[in-house]
Amino acid sequence: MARRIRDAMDMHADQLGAAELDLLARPRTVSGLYRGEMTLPQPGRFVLELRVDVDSRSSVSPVMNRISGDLYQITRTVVPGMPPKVSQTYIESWIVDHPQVTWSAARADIKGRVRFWTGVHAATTVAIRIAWPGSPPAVSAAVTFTETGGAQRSFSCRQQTDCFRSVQLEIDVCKSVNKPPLRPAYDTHWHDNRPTGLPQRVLTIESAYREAGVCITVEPTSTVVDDTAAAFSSWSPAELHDAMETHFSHYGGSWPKWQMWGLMAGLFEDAGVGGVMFDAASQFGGAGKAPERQGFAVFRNHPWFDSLVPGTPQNQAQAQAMRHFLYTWVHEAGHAFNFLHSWNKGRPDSLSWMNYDWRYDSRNGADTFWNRFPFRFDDDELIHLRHGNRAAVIMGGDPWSSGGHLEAPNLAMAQVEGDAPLELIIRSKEYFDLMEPVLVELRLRNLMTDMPVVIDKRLAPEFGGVVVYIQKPDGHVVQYDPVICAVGTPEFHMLAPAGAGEQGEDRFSREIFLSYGSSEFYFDRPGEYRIRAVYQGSGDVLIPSEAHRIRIGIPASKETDRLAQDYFSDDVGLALYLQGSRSPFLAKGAQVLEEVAERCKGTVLGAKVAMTLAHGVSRPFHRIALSGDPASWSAAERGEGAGEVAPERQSKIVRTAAADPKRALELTRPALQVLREQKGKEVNLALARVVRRRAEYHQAVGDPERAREELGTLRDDLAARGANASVLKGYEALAESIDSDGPQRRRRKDTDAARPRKPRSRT
Amino acid sequence: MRHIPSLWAAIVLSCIAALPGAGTAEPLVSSLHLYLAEGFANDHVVVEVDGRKVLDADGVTTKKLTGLAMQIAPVAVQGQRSRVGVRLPRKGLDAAFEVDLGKGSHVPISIENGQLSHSVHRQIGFM
Repeated sequence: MARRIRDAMDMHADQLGAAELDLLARPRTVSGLYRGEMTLPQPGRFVLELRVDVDSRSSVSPVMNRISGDLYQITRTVVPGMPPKVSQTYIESWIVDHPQVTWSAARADIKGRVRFWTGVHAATTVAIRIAWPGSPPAVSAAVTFTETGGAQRSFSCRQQTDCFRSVQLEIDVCKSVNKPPLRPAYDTHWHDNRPTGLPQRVLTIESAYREAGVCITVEPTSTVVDDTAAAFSSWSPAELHDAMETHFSHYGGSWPKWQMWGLMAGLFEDAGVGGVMFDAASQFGGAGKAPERQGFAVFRNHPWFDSLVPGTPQNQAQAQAMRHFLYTWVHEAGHAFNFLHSWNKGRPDSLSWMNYDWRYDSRNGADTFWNRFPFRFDDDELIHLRHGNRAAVIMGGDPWSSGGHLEAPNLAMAQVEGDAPLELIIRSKEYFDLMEPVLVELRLRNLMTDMPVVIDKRLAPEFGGVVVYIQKPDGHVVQYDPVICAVGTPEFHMLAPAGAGEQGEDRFSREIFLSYGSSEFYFDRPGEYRIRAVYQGSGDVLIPSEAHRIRIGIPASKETDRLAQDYFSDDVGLALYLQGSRSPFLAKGAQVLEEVAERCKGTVLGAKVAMTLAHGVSRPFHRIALSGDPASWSAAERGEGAGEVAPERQSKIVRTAAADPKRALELTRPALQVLREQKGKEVNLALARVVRRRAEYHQAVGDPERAREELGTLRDDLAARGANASVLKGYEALAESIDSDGPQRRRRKDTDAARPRKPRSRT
Repeated sequence: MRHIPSLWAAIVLSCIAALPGAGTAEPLVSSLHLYLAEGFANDHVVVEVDGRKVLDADGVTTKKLTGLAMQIAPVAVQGQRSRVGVRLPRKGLDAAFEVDLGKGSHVPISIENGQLSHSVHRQIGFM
């Protein structure tokens, strides 16, 4: 009977008004966060977090009429005898602007065109059916994406909460200001200067954000930060960041994450500042340490808070102080969600938490801001907060005030959550000279303590198992596109369980070259770059790295600047990529590299370029050449004949340059010295590479003793730099193997010089 | 006044001087709070208050996080009104204005649409 009534209601739903529908068993709101797994075509392979914002959550929470979502890939690692370990890797986000919503008595049907924030996608629409069977209603959403051409993906989701996002806030307090009230609580009718008809309610950080659609949970305990040193009077952004690193209990681990830190402190270095989200780039006045937007501070000794008292205020000055206390906390947390000030967004008259009251008043008349302010964010801010691209909103995601994510390729923002079986990190030194070849170390580490993991050692992007994204100084994100695409058999390697076996056997590192790819130099401008990599292992495991930040310096002199003009050409790029190729087609590029090596001798730039050239001269160079006088060649020999078999001489390989290991040793001597002088683990791979190569050159000139000696010194250097025992053992073994019969001679009869031992990555 | 004994005269004058805004022998001293706010970008800025140079700084740049470039140390001024002059020689910008301290003593100065602008408030803050 009930079903028949419901069906009948459905039939007439379009004719019912909203008030009548509310009389039916409709839940208080269908808006909020939903979550559920893919049902088709790969059940359980992906998870969708869906945000529905089509009806009122409360009378003070405006509807933005948007749908948005985040997609995650699920990885289940099965350990025999144990429950599977599950991790999820964030893939991408999308939004539907102004979806079409059709209400009926028992469901809501929502349709719209999907706009992905990143990457290239086929035109996609989404259809969502929200139903609320049962009592109390269990609100569920059946979601189907349809691409042009008909491909479909479906998810079955359940409503989790009426908030669109959830964030944890840890608040610490400085000893000098550790007095109540520590947090704001303001009754919107306490101060007489308020909008007519303003709904009365008590606002806190949590309730202000809950109205905006974000559930903020303030952690119940606070750390008291001792700021009572005699000489200390005010905080700088760098000191605030340092305090955050020390006291924020969630500071460690991988970022981005939905965690935020707030500090109540005494005074900022500019005493007129009542609060600051200090975790941004230094050019904006921040601490200049990535990742950004993790923390903020409120300054209790600002004159705004002189009249602040706990409990109910006894006069208007006390009410105003509490109102400003709330305003400052909500405003600073807003910056951590990546909000700019209202006037920076072209909305100087916005009645928002993100505007300044006095700036609004100077445009609209004295005391007008508080007379009109409804205690909320403006609509555009609510859309960002609820439905913005995840990377742009989440703490530690996109840098503050940046929009680089807008043009990012697919997977550029991938992020793993939960028990991932592997960790991928990128390491290198932080600063590179302009033109200095950029090589970074990719390191995979087994995170599981109870089982080994098999990986493919071919981490170079050429093999396709690793994709690298580079965010340039202007915020634009590009995917590294190698010159060569390599195909080959996977080189499987077993990583020991974490903590088991020899130290270091749970990880594998490889250095990769990123300076030049398909017709493009990637680091050709001074400034800050961010590099991320995503490893796709067997079983479709996606392991993204954290963003690794490097800085490319400005040219050291006018001469270097001029040299840069010649350097950033395809000839040089290819010569670098092909490691000092002596092809006559790249002679011009090699010439420029020689000039750089000579002029920048004694610098890391000169050293690295010299290593590249040395690699080229250490090997003989062969060309495929036609023999004899070209004028005497037949049509077939010139490749003009059809169906004829070309004579043998047409494909003859000739050696056009002999190997010169002696010259290679000369070229790499300064490189060895420069790299030994560099401190820090990030140069370990580069140092090892130059020594390995020099050992090969020494053997090629008939001096195995010297090769062994340099390998021994390398072993000692690496030990001093904290390299793992397994690495040191490897070099000891390599040095010992030279004693009897050098490894190169075992592999090759050609004694000109050594080739790389394996078809490995570009190291 | 000359008919009043000198001791009484001194007492009366000191009481009058204590009244806000009263015309007195000891002029009223208050603090003027000047802020260089929005729109500054590596600028050379010269600020004068009542003919006295209170700032001559180069490289003044607004910090986007707070909308504040520089807070000038509070300037002690006498009387109810003060004259403020602001110059950016390299940009050819020059402005002078009077501040009625009865309306407020906090004065943010910005560059908006290529022009210097200011407002007067009883209390402001940046965040």
